[in-house]
Formats: sequence, structure tokens, C-alpha cells
Amino acid sequence: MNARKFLSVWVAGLAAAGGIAACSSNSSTTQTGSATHAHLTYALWDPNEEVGYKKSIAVFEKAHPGITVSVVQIPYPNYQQKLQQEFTSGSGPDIFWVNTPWLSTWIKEGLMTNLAPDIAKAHINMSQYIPSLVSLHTYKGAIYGLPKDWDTIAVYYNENYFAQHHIPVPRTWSWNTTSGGSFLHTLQLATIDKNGVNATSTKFSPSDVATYGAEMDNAMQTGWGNFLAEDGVFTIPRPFASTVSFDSAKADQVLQFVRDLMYKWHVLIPGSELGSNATDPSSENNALFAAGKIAMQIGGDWETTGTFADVGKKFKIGVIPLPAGPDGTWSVFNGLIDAINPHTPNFKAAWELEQWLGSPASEKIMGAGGYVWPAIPGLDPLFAKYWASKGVDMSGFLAESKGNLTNWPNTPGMNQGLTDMQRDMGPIWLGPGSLAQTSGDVATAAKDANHDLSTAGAGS
Amino acid sequence: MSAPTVLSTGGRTIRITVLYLILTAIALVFMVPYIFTVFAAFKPISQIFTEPAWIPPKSLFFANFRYDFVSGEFLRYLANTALVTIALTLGQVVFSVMGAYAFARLNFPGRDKLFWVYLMTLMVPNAVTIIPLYAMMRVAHLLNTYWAIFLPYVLGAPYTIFLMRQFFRNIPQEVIDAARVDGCSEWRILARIIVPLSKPVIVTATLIAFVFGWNNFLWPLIVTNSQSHYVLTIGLANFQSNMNSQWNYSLAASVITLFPLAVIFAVFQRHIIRSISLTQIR
Repeated sequence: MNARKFLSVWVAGLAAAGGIAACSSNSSTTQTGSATHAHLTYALWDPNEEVGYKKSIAVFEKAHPGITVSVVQIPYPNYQQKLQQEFTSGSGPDIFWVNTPWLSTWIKEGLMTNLAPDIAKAHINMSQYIPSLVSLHTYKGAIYGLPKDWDTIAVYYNENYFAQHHIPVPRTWSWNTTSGGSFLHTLQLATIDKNGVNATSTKFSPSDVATYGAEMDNAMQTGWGNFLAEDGVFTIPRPFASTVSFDSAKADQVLQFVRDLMYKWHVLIPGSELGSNATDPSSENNALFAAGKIAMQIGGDWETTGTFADVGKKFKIGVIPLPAGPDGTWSVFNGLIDAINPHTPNFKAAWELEQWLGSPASEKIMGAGGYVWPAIPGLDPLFAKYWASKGVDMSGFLAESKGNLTNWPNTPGMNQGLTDMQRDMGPIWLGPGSLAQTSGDVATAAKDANHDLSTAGAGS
Repeated sequence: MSAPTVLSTGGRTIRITVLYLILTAIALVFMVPYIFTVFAAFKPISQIFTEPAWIPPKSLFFANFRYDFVSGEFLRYLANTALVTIALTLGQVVFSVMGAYAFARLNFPGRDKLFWVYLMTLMVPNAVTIIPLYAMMRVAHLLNTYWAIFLPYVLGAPYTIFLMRQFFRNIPQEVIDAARVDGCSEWRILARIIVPLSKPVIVTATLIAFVFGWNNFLWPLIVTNSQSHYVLTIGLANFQSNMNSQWNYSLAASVITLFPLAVIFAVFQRHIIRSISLTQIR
């Protein structure tokens, strides 16, 4: 091919691309040609919830003919990076989901609008929401979004498996680091080797387990955060604290207990089955549960809407609350808000959408469709009812939301701090014996690795 | 004398057998993830989770692909990816040929210094340039357009220019001088002499640019804000939530994404293998 031909092909290709590009609209740039029309971009990450939010937004658009909304789904692992890069360049979506790990840092960096004056002006009744969701997103009087949903942690169990092996379903169960309690006993009943012998028997073969009782991943929200709280140990002492507080003898006992469940009693699946550093990066626990390798899975309610909906066709899935520890049953509690970009040229429209998504009408759509637990407690039965119609009893999550709750540790730098803690807690999950890393080592590593965390105390 | 010959022949056979066994094992290690992906793409989610990955699907289950193409908009992503990849590849190859020719065969002050400075940009991490590039696209009102996805790569790439420059320098200067004596312009020399003699390196550069464009993820993710402009890699990543993955759709989408590259590999196999020797620094 000579250069002229080569060039003409290139120009044709580029012109084709350009032609199509010219036809496209820049949906991130809002249209302000008409005072009554605004185009908003709304960023979120969950593909399951996206379906529900699109339904809700369709209702919103009908009621607000001057506003159109583009929902932008961004993969979760890249969500923070993309948004921060956009914000750094003076752009970004008009309104966007905020997860608690980034909350404090984004407050510190001024990436979210303080909505408290607008909330007061619009006379929005904040007491309609679960109080801890409001307090989670409030800092020094500033409120960064209206609560939309919540989640707690409970235990999914394979109802068919329990029935087949005549294992009583525990409605109230407990653990302690000395004897293991009824939690250990249930796990032993549910852990069965390839000869059909369960872990209560002396003939049980730990090297030949067909189904383990449960799993617990190396994660604050779906793993150790709940069990530490049940023995009075919290990741940070209070919101916006500058120190971590789980480095204690009690924490070491709990972590040793978790390790013993894996390697002494052989009733929790070994951490090596839960992906890199046992952090469950690819929802390995879902796969293990679906494959019948574990009889129970400790997880969040959001997992019901995804793969479980299909796996539930294979066997019936039930939900029970977490076992109580020495300090009772505690669950990590979290919820999302929508934040408004402080630089949006469409604040009024974005505020309208914010109000709609936090309103009983929108939360009703999301709850009744089985997408999320609404942040307005009166609407929660809708979500439970949806899943009951699918044969899944979600009341275990609801019961936990009314009990002892520990919020996601919210302080600047905690996102990185938790990553560092997970990294350093890996050895606890990955091998038998006594603790290779104590909670003190892990806490020190988290503090050392994160300047933000060690200087966050201003607000505490 | 015959006994050692028999022994050495036998020894050679054993060595070759062992070598082939090792190579087969290594090939399998590389192949297995792709085989598992294809198997899983044709299974419903409940089967993916409950059956070992090495078991082939009992029947071809197309619902995952149907979802990807109908609800997941993968046909659009496929078209978008093809469009931006073709534009990126054509631009990168044409401008790299021009740049490499200038650096290899045109005399101008500071040529080599300029080349090495340009080559140094190879060492600059992507993260350093991504924000300024994004800001440029914003100022030019090109965010969320196809232009934004391929423009930063269209005017040549340091590695490609380096590769071509090295190749062009091996073309005898006498040929170029003879053409100049005959009155050929530089454009004509490039078109009639350099390009025809450099087909192998141009094919190599085309393949490198194409594969890069096809697999590019972070930049298209940063500059696009609507599904209408998403490319395959973004669509694929969107099946991953923070604690939930839609594996059935994701694996079918992986097959959709891989398939065109596999076809290209099959068609251009000979050139790709030749490109391996070309990419050695001369």
C-alpha cells in the first residue's frame, strides 16, 4: 500500500469516527440553554441497583419535565479513582453515590456539598430516617446527603442442607473464646467430611471435609468487624477519631478464636479458599456457598440481589442473625447517600433529584423491587415482602438493624487504613498456629501507613 | 560403535519427549483459563457455581450472551471499540511512520537529542499525564465523545516510533540517495521506498496499536460518561460491584471481547511471530 492510499484510508477512518462523535452529545456537560431545562449525570456503581434507580428516575423525570438524568454506572474498583480525577479537573457527575470508606476524605477534600441549609429550607424531616444513618453522614452540623438505604450483616444458610442433615436452625446462638458456645456446636454439626461424619464425632476427618460449617472473610464489614464488636472491640473509638482502637488483648483473643475455628476445629473453611489474603476479592464465598462447600455464609443483604437470586433456584436459602458474642449481637451497619458536586452548574436540579431519591416515594420503589432496604424504617417490610415472595426470609437482617449496630469506621484515611489492616491480618487467616500478627502489629501498621488517619483527630 | 549411537538416539528421543511434555504442560497452564471461560460462558450461573470449571456445558446455553447483547448493550460496546481502535491504529501507524522517518533519515539540528527526549516520555507513568490530558479534553469540549478516547494516542507512540526508526535505519542510505538524485520528494521516498520495504514493522506496529486500543480501559473509563460511548472493557468491568459479581454475564462478555482478538491472531499469526523477532532491539 502506498502512502497516499494509506493516508486516505486513515482519513476515512478518522472521518467516520469523527462523524459519529459529532452526533454524540456530551452528557457530562449540562445544558443551560433554557432556564427550565437541566441535564444531570448521576454516578453509581452497582449494576443490580442501577435497574431499580432507573425505574425511580423515570418517575422523577415524568414529574420534572425540565430535568433529564443520565445514570452512569462505573465499576466499583475504579469508582473512586474516576471521580477524584474528574473532580481534580473541575468536572465530575452532578450527583453521585458515596460509600462510607471515602466519606471522611471526601468531606476533607470538599468534594460534597453541605446540604444542611437546603434541608432546613425544604423542611425535610430527618427523623423519618434511621438515626445512625443521619449521624453517619453528618459532621460538625454539615449534612452531606439524604440516607437512601442500609445494610447489616447476617448469616445465610442452606435450608436444604440443614434439613437433610437434621441440623437444628439456630434462632439464638452465641460464642465465647473459651468454649466456643452454641456457635461452635452448630458449626460442628454442619461440618461434614466425605464419609458423612460431622465434626462433633471423633471419627471426623478434618483433612477430608466435604462441607464446612461456614466461612468468615478477612474483611471489616463482613468478617472480623462484627465479631470484634461483639466482644467490645471497635476499629476506631468514635467517628473521626485519629487512632484505631482494636489493638487489645481482647482483640487478640477473638482473632485467635477465629483462627482456631479454621485450623483447630476445622469448622470454618480455611482462609486460603477465600482469595488473595482471604479478603474475598471475587466473591469467592458466594461461589463456595452455591457449590455446597460451605453450609453458611456470613454476608451482607446486598448479596441477595445478585447471584443468590439464581443460586436460590438450586436450594432454599435462609437468613439468621449473627451469633451473639460476650457483649451480645452486633452488626456492622452501613448505608449510602447521594452527594451533590459543589461545582455543578445545575444545583437546583440536582437538589430536586437528591430530594426525590431520599423521599418515601422513591425508597418505596427501591424497597418494593427488592433492590435495597429503605432508610425509612416504615418501608422496610416492602423489601422483606419482596424477598419472601421469592422464598427468601430476610428478617434476620431486619432484626439486626434494630439491635446493636456499629457504624463503618468513618475517619479520614480509614479507607487506606482498612486496606493496610486487611493486608497485615492475612497471616492470621492463612495458617494454623498462634497469631503471627497481633492486633497491635496490625494497628501500628495501619497508623504508620496512613498519615491522614494519624492526623484526623481535629474533628474528634 | 553402534551401541553408543543407539543409546544417543534413545537418549535424544527421551529428551525430546520430556521437552514436549513440559511444553504441553506449560501450554495447558496458559490455555486452561481460556477454556474454563468459554465453558462457563455457556452455563447458567447456578451451574457455574455448582459444577467444577473443567466440566464442559451439557448444552449450549446462550442466555448469558443474549443478556450481554440485548440488556448489556454489548453490540454497541463492540461497535464503539472497533471504531475507536481502528481510528487509533490508523492514526498511530501513519504518524509513527512519518515521525520515525524524520528521526531516522531527515537531517535537522538536534534531531537525535529530540528523539531521545521523546523516547524518555516512555518512562513517564500514565498516572502523571492522565489529569492534564483529561483537563485538555474538557477544555476542548471533547469529553464523552469518541474523539476523547483515541485522540491522545493517535499522533504516534514513542515505542512504535522507536521500533520503526531502528528498522528504517537498516534500509541502505544509498537507495534513498539514489531516489533523491532522481528527483524524488521526501513524501515520495517515504511512500514508494520506505513503506514498501518496511511492511513487516508496519504490520507489527499495527498489531501493537490494535491490541492496545482494544484492551484500553482506564482512559476510556475516565473520559466517557454514558453507555452510548462505553467500550468493551468498561462494559466488562461493570459486571463487578463492590461485593457482588455477575460471573455468568461477565464470562460471556469476556468471550465476546476475546473473540475478535483471537480471530486477528489466527489471521496474522505469521506476522505476529515475526514481530517477536522485530521487537528485539537492534
